[in-house]
Amino acid sequence: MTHAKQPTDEWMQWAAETEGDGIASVGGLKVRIAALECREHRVELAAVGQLLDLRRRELGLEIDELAKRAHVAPESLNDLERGLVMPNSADVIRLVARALNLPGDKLVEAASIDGATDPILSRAALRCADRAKSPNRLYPGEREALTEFIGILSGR
Amino acid sequence: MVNERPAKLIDCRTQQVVEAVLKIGLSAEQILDVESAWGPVRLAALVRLRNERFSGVPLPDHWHWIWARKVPKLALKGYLGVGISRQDTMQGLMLVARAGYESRLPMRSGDGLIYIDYLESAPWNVQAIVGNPQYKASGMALLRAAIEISYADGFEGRVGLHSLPQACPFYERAGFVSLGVDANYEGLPYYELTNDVAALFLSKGESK
Repeated sequence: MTHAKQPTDEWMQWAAETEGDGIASVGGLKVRIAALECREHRVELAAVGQLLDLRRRELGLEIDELAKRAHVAPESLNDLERGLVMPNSADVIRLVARALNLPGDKLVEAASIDGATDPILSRAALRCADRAKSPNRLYPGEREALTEFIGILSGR
Repeated sequence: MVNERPAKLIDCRTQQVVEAVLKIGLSAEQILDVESAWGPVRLAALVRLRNERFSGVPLPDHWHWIWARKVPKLALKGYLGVGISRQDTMQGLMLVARAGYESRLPMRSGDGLIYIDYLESAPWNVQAIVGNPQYKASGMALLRAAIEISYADGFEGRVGLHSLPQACPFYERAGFVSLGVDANYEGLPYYELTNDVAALFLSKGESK
Protein backbone atom coordinates (compact mmCIF):
# COMPACT_ATOMS: atom_id res chain seq x y z
CA MET A 1 0.00 0.00 0.00
CA THR A 2 2.06 2.94 -1.30
CA HIS A 3 -0.14 5.48 0.48
CA ALA A 4 0.08 3.51 3.72
CA LYS A 5 2.01 5.34 6.41
CA GLN A 6 1.64 5.74 10.12
CA PRO A 7 -0.81 8.52 10.95
CA THR A 8 0.68 11.39 12.95
CA ASP A 9 -0.44 12.04 16.51
CA GLU A 10 -2.16 15.17 15.23
CA TRP A 11 -4.11 13.04 12.75
CA MET A 12 -5.12 10.71 15.59
CA GLN A 13 -6.45 13.63 17.67
CA TRP A 14 -8.45 14.89 14.68
CA ALA A 15 -9.72 11.34 14.11
CA ALA A 16 -10.84 11.00 17.73
CA GLU A 17 -12.65 14.37 17.59
CA THR A 18 -14.33 13.40 14.32
CA GLU A 19 -15.38 9.99 15.61
CA GLY A 20 -16.60 11.48 18.91
CA ASP A 21 -19.08 9.16 20.63
CA GLY A 22 -20.46 8.08 17.26
CA ILE A 23 -21.27 4.52 16.25
CA ALA A 24 -19.34 3.43 13.12
CA SER A 25 -21.39 0.38 12.07
CA VAL A 26 -22.03 -0.47 8.42
CA GLY A 27 -24.74 -2.86 7.23
CA GLY A 28 -23.68 -4.34 3.87
CA LEU A 29 -22.65 -7.70 5.31
CA LYS A 30 -25.92 -8.11 7.18
CA VAL A 31 -27.88 -7.57 3.94
CA ARG A 32 -25.61 -9.91 2.00
CA ILE A 33 -26.06 -12.69 4.53
CA ALA A 34 -29.82 -12.17 4.49
CA ALA A 35 -29.74 -12.53 0.70
CA LEU A 36 -27.72 -15.76 0.97
CA GLU A 37 -30.21 -17.13 3.50
CA CYS A 38 -33.20 -16.06 1.44
CA ARG A 39 -31.63 -17.55 -1.71
CA GLU A 40 -33.91 -15.69 -4.07
CA HIS A 41 -33.48 -16.95 -7.61
CA ARG A 42 -34.74 -15.30 -10.76
CA VAL A 43 -34.83 -17.01 -14.16
CA GLU A 44 -34.30 -13.71 -15.98
CA LEU A 45 -31.11 -13.12 -14.02
CA ALA A 46 -29.93 -16.66 -14.78
CA ALA A 47 -30.62 -16.04 -18.48
CA VAL A 48 -28.51 -12.87 -18.45
CA GLY A 49 -25.78 -14.73 -16.58
CA GLN A 50 -25.78 -17.45 -19.22
CA LEU A 51 -25.68 -14.85 -21.99
CA LEU A 52 -22.68 -13.17 -20.43
CA ASP A 53 -21.04 -16.59 -20.30
CA LEU A 54 -21.81 -17.20 -23.99
CA ARG A 55 -20.25 -13.87 -24.84
CA ARG A 56 -17.22 -14.73 -22.70
CA ARG A 57 -16.77 -17.96 -24.64
CA GLU A 58 -17.27 -16.17 -27.94
CA LEU A 59 -14.41 -13.84 -27.06
CA GLY A 60 -12.24 -16.75 -25.92
CA LEU A 61 -11.87 -15.54 -22.32
CA GLU A 62 -11.35 -17.81 -19.33
CA ILE A 63 -13.60 -17.16 -16.31
CA ASP A 64 -10.76 -15.91 -14.10
CA GLU A 65 -9.54 -13.61 -16.86
CA LEU A 66 -12.98 -12.06 -17.28
CA ALA A 67 -13.38 -11.67 -13.53
CA LYS A 68 -10.04 -9.87 -13.38
CA ARG A 69 -10.87 -7.57 -16.32
CA ALA A 70 -14.29 -6.74 -14.90
CA HIS A 71 -13.05 -6.30 -11.29
CA VAL A 72 -15.54 -8.84 -9.94
CA ALA A 73 -15.04 -11.99 -7.87
CA PRO A 74 -15.35 -15.23 -9.92
CA GLU A 75 -18.02 -16.36 -7.44
CA SER A 76 -20.16 -13.40 -8.57
CA LEU A 77 -20.17 -14.81 -12.11
CA ASN A 78 -21.36 -18.16 -10.72
CA ASP A 79 -24.11 -16.43 -8.74
CA LEU A 80 -25.31 -14.67 -11.90
CA GLU A 81 -25.47 -17.89 -13.93
CA ARG A 82 -27.42 -19.58 -11.14
CA GLY A 83 -29.80 -16.63 -11.00
CA LEU A 84 -29.02 -15.98 -7.32
CA VAL A 85 -30.06 -12.40 -6.53
CA MET A 86 -27.42 -10.62 -4.41
CA PRO A 87 -27.52 -7.00 -3.27
CA ASN A 88 -24.88 -5.99 -5.83
CA SER A 89 -26.11 -8.09 -8.78
CA ALA A 90 -26.81 -4.97 -10.87
CA ASP A 91 -23.29 -3.64 -10.25
CA VAL A 92 -21.78 -7.00 -11.25
CA ILE A 93 -23.83 -7.14 -14.47
CA ARG A 94 -22.72 -3.63 -15.45
CA LEU A 95 -19.06 -4.33 -14.66
CA VAL A 96 -19.01 -7.61 -16.58
CA ALA A 97 -20.99 -6.14 -19.49
CA ARG A 98 -18.46 -3.32 -19.81
CA ALA A 99 -15.61 -5.84 -19.96
CA LEU A 100 -17.50 -7.73 -22.68
CA ASN A 101 -18.45 -4.58 -24.60
CA LEU A 102 -22.20 -5.02 -24.00
CA PRO A 103 -24.80 -2.45 -22.79
CA GLY A 104 -24.93 -2.98 -19.02
CA ASP A 105 -28.08 -0.97 -18.25
CA LYS A 106 -30.13 -2.92 -20.79
CA LEU A 107 -28.87 -6.22 -19.39
CA VAL A 108 -29.92 -5.08 -15.90
CA GLU A 109 -33.40 -4.41 -17.31
CA ALA A 110 -33.42 -7.81 -19.00
CA ALA A 111 -32.51 -9.39 -15.62
CA SER A 112 -35.44 -7.58 -13.94
CA ILE A 113 -33.47 -6.40 -10.95
CA ASP A 114 -32.57 -3.11 -9.35
CA GLY A 115 -36.09 -1.81 -9.92
CA ALA A 116 -35.61 -1.90 -13.72
CA THR A 117 -37.51 -4.24 -16.00
CA ASP A 118 -38.07 -4.73 -19.70
CA PRO A 119 -40.33 -7.74 -20.34
CA ILE A 120 -39.49 -7.85 -24.06
CA LEU A 121 -35.75 -7.91 -23.39
CA SER A 122 -36.27 -10.49 -20.62
CA ARG A 123 -38.18 -12.79 -22.98
CA ALA A 124 -35.47 -12.42 -25.65
CA ALA A 125 -32.81 -13.24 -23.04
CA LEU A 126 -34.70 -16.35 -21.91
CA ARG A 127 -35.11 -17.52 -25.53
CA CYS A 128 -31.43 -17.05 -26.23
CA ALA A 129 -30.34 -18.81 -23.02
CA ASP A 130 -32.70 -21.68 -23.77
CA ARG A 131 -30.87 -22.35 -27.02
CA ALA A 132 -27.45 -22.45 -25.28
CA LYS A 133 -26.14 -25.95 -24.70
CA SER A 134 -22.45 -26.65 -24.21
CA PRO A 135 -20.30 -24.96 -21.56
CA ASN A 136 -17.33 -24.92 -23.93
CA ARG A 137 -16.98 -23.52 -27.44
CA LEU A 138 -20.01 -22.02 -29.14
CA TYR A 139 -21.93 -24.19 -31.55
CA PRO A 140 -23.52 -22.59 -34.64
CA GLY A 141 -26.98 -22.52 -33.02
CA GLU A 142 -25.56 -20.79 -29.94
CA ARG A 143 -23.62 -18.29 -32.01
CA GLU A 144 -26.75 -17.47 -34.00
CA ALA A 145 -28.83 -17.07 -30.83
CA LEU A 146 -26.22 -14.81 -29.22
CA THR A 147 -25.84 -12.66 -32.34
CA GLU A 148 -29.60 -12.24 -32.55
CA PHE A 149 -29.89 -11.17 -28.88
CA ILE A 150 -27.01 -8.72 -29.13
CA GLY A 151 -28.74 -7.27 -32.18
CA ILE A 152 -31.87 -6.73 -30.07
CA LEU A 153 -29.83 -5.07 -27.30
CA SER A 154 -28.11 -2.75 -29.79
CA GLY A 155 -31.20 -1.87 -31.70
CA ARG A 156 -33.33 -0.55 -28.82
CA MET B 1 -1.68 -14.95 5.74
CA VAL B 2 -2.08 -11.98 8.09
CA ASN B 3 0.17 -8.97 7.52
CA GLU B 4 0.79 -6.67 10.47
CA ARG B 5 1.86 -3.07 10.59
CA PRO B 6 2.05 -0.39 13.29
CA ALA B 7 -1.04 1.70 13.97
CA LYS B 8 -2.36 4.03 16.68
CA LEU B 9 -5.40 4.51 18.93
CA ILE B 10 -6.34 7.06 21.59
CA ASP B 11 -6.55 5.76 25.16
CA CYS B 12 -9.71 7.39 26.61
CA ARG B 13 -8.40 7.25 30.17
CA THR B 14 -5.28 9.30 29.45
CA GLN B 15 -6.34 10.95 26.15
CA GLN B 16 -2.91 9.92 24.88
CA VAL B 17 -1.99 8.31 21.58
CA VAL B 18 -1.00 4.67 22.12
CA GLU B 19 0.51 2.02 19.86
CA ALA B 20 -1.69 -0.53 18.15
CA VAL B 21 -1.33 -3.10 15.36
CA LEU B 22 -3.23 -3.21 12.09
CA LYS B 23 -3.85 -6.81 11.02
CA ILE B 24 -4.61 -7.23 7.33
CA GLY B 25 -5.86 -10.50 5.85
CA LEU B 26 -7.96 -11.97 8.67
CA SER B 27 -9.82 -15.18 7.87
CA ALA B 28 -13.55 -15.82 8.40
CA GLU B 29 -12.67 -17.96 11.42
CA GLN B 30 -10.58 -15.18 12.96
CA ILE B 31 -13.39 -12.68 12.41
CA LEU B 32 -15.85 -15.12 13.99
CA ASP B 33 -13.55 -15.55 16.99
CA VAL B 34 -13.49 -11.80 17.55
CA GLU B 35 -17.26 -11.43 17.23
CA SER B 36 -17.73 -14.39 19.61
CA ALA B 37 -15.77 -12.43 22.21
CA TRP B 38 -17.75 -9.25 21.57
CA GLY B 39 -21.22 -10.83 21.63
CA PRO B 40 -21.46 -11.49 25.40
CA VAL B 41 -20.24 -7.96 26.20
CA ARG B 42 -22.96 -6.45 24.01
CA LEU B 43 -25.58 -8.78 25.48
CA ALA B 44 -24.62 -7.96 29.06
CA ALA B 45 -24.83 -4.25 28.28
CA LEU B 46 -28.24 -4.74 26.65
CA VAL B 47 -29.55 -6.53 29.74
CA ARG B 48 -28.12 -3.85 32.03
CA LEU B 49 -29.57 -0.99 30.03
CA ARG B 50 -32.98 -2.61 29.86
CA ASN B 51 -32.91 -3.32 33.59
CA GLU B 52 -32.05 0.28 34.26
CA ARG B 53 -34.84 1.30 31.86
CA PHE B 54 -32.35 3.66 30.31
CA SER B 55 -34.23 5.41 27.60
CA GLY B 56 -31.95 8.31 26.76
CA VAL B 57 -29.69 6.53 24.26
CA PRO B 58 -30.97 4.37 21.40
CA LEU B 59 -29.53 0.84 21.37
CA PRO B 60 -27.34 0.03 18.36
CA ASP B 61 -29.31 -1.43 15.44
CA HIS B 62 -27.27 -4.55 14.95
CA TRP B 63 -27.43 -6.08 18.39
CA HIS B 64 -29.99 -8.66 17.48
CA TRP B 65 -27.94 -9.97 14.61
CA ILE B 66 -26.43 -13.26 15.63
CA TRP B 67 -23.03 -13.70 14.03
CA ALA B 68 -22.06 -17.25 14.84
CA ARG B 69 -24.89 -18.80 12.84
CA LYS B 70 -24.21 -16.70 9.82
CA VAL B 71 -20.47 -16.27 9.33
CA PRO B 72 -19.84 -19.85 8.13
CA LYS B 73 -22.15 -19.15 5.19
CA LEU B 74 -20.02 -16.27 4.00
CA ALA B 75 -18.03 -16.50 0.80
CA LEU B 76 -15.01 -14.40 1.67
CA LYS B 77 -12.97 -14.81 -1.50
CA GLY B 78 -12.42 -11.32 -2.91
CA TYR B 79 -12.93 -9.84 0.56
CA LEU B 80 -10.23 -8.64 2.93
CA GLY B 81 -10.58 -8.84 6.72
CA VAL B 82 -8.79 -6.06 8.65
CA GLY B 83 -8.56 -5.59 12.41
CA ILE B 84 -6.92 -3.12 14.76
CA SER B 85 -5.48 -4.67 17.88
CA ARG B 86 -4.10 -3.28 21.13
CA GLN B 87 -2.39 -5.54 23.70
CA ASP B 88 -3.49 -8.65 21.76
CA THR B 89 -7.16 -7.70 21.92
CA MET B 90 -9.05 -6.65 18.79
CA GLN B 91 -10.44 -3.15 19.17
CA GLY B 92 -12.12 -2.80 15.79
CA LEU B 93 -12.90 -5.00 12.80
CA MET B 94 -13.62 -4.43 9.10
CA LEU B 95 -14.38 -6.46 6.00
CA VAL B 96 -13.85 -4.88 2.57
CA ALA B 97 -14.80 -6.08 -0.91
CA ARG B 98 -12.07 -5.32 -3.45
CA ALA B 99 -14.16 -6.23 -6.50
CA GLY B 100 -17.72 -6.12 -7.72
CA TYR B 101 -18.69 -2.56 -6.82
CA GLU B 102 -18.64 0.67 -8.75
CA SER B 103 -19.17 4.31 -7.93
CA ARG B 104 -22.72 5.68 -8.10
CA LEU B 105 -21.59 9.30 -8.27
CA PRO B 106 -22.62 10.80 -11.63
CA MET B 107 -19.14 12.13 -12.37
CA ARG B 108 -17.58 8.76 -11.43
CA SER B 109 -20.18 6.41 -12.84
CA GLY B 110 -18.60 3.06 -13.62
CA ASP B 111 -15.34 3.70 -11.74
CA GLY B 112 -14.48 0.95 -9.29
CA LEU B 113 -14.14 1.45 -5.56
CA ILE B 114 -13.53 -0.43 -2.34
CA TYR B 115 -16.79 -1.39 -0.62
CA ILE B 116 -16.86 -1.73 3.18
CA ASP B 117 -19.10 -4.70 3.90
CA TYR B 118 -18.68 -4.64 7.68
CA LEU B 119 -17.11 -2.27 10.21
CA GLU B 120 -17.47 -2.37 14.00
CA SER B 121 -15.68 -1.07 17.05
CA ALA B 122 -15.29 -3.45 19.98
CA PRO B 123 -18.27 -2.98 22.35
CA TRP B 124 -16.07 -1.70 25.16
CA ASN B 125 -15.08 1.18 22.88
CA VAL B 126 -18.66 2.30 22.15
CA GLN B 127 -20.18 5.02 24.34
CA ALA B 128 -23.72 3.72 23.79
CA ILE B 129 -22.76 0.31 25.20
CA VAL B 130 -20.41 1.15 28.07
CA GLY B 131 -20.30 4.32 30.13
CA ASN B 132 -16.51 4.65 29.83
CA PRO B 133 -15.10 3.55 26.48
CA GLN B 134 -11.49 2.30 26.52
CA TYR B 135 -10.13 3.44 23.16
CA LYS B 136 -11.19 5.99 20.60
CA ALA B 137 -10.61 6.37 16.85
CA SER B 138 -10.71 2.64 15.95
CA GLY B 139 -13.43 3.37 13.38
CA MET B 140 -11.41 6.20 11.82
CA ALA B 141 -8.25 4.05 11.84
CA LEU B 142 -10.08 1.33 9.92
CA LEU B 143 -11.51 3.87 7.46
CA ARG B 144 -7.97 5.09 6.91
CA ALA B 145 -6.90 1.51 6.15
CA ALA B 146 -9.80 1.16 3.68
CA ILE B 147 -8.66 4.29 1.83
CA GLU B 148 -5.11 2.95 1.69
CA ILE B 149 -6.38 -0.36 0.26
CA SER B 150 -8.38 1.64 -2.30
CA TYR B 151 -5.22 3.45 -3.43
CA ALA B 152 -3.26 0.19 -3.54
CA ASP B 153 -5.96 -1.36 -5.77
CA GLY B 154 -5.96 1.58 -8.19
CA PHE B 155 -9.26 3.12 -7.03
CA GLU B 156 -7.69 6.46 -6.01
CA GLY B 157 -9.04 6.34 -2.46
CA ARG B 158 -12.71 5.85 -3.37
CA VAL B 159 -14.75 3.96 -0.79
CA GLY B 160 -18.44 3.03 -0.64
CA LEU B 161 -20.60 1.61 2.17
CA HIS B 162 -24.15 1.21 3.47
CA SER B 163 -24.36 2.80 6.88
CA LEU B 164 -26.59 1.57 9.68
CA PRO B 165 -28.89 4.54 10.44
CA GLN B 166 -27.26 5.39 13.79
CA ALA B 167 -23.84 5.65 12.13
CA CYS B 168 -24.88 8.20 9.47
CA PRO B 169 -23.70 11.25 11.47
CA PHE B 170 -20.26 9.62 11.85
CA TYR B 171 -19.82 9.01 8.12
CA GLU B 172 -21.02 12.50 7.27
CA ARG B 173 -18.49 14.00 9.71
CA ALA B 174 -15.80 11.83 8.11
CA GLY B 175 -16.56 13.41 4.71
CA PHE B 176 -18.71 10.77 3.03
CA VAL B 177 -21.34 11.92 0.52
CA SER B 178 -24.86 10.59 1.04
CA LEU B 179 -26.50 9.09 -2.05
CA GLY B 180 -29.80 8.35 -0.37
CA VAL B 181 -31.42 5.15 0.85
CA ASP B 182 -30.95 1.99 -1.18
CA ALA B 183 -33.99 -0.25 -1.71
CA ASN B 184 -31.69 -3.14 -2.69
CA TYR B 185 -30.08 -2.98 0.74
CA GLU B 186 -33.13 -3.00 2.97
CA GLY B 187 -33.41 0.79 2.77
CA LEU B 188 -29.96 1.41 4.29
CA PRO B 189 -28.38 4.76 3.38
CA TYR B 190 -25.54 4.52 0.87
CA TYR B 191 -22.42 6.70 1.17
CA GLU B 192 -19.30 7.26 -0.87
CA LEU B 193 -15.96 8.92 -0.24
CA THR B 194 -14.65 10.72 -3.32
CA ASN B 195 -10.97 10.62 -4.26
CA ASP B 196 -10.56 14.33 -3.41
CA VAL B 197 -11.97 13.87 0.08
CA ALA B 198 -9.99 10.65 0.53
CA ALA B 199 -6.74 12.54 -0.07
CA LEU B 200 -7.87 15.18 2.42
CA PHE B 201 -8.85 12.50 4.95
CA LEU B 202 -5.34 11.06 4.97
CA SER B 203 -3.65 14.41 5.45
CA LYS B 204 -6.13 16.11 7.79
CA GLY B 205 -4.88 17.27 11.15
CA GLU B 206 -1.25 16.84 10.21
CA SER B 207 1.27 19.53 11.13
CA LYS B 208 2.58 21.52 8.16
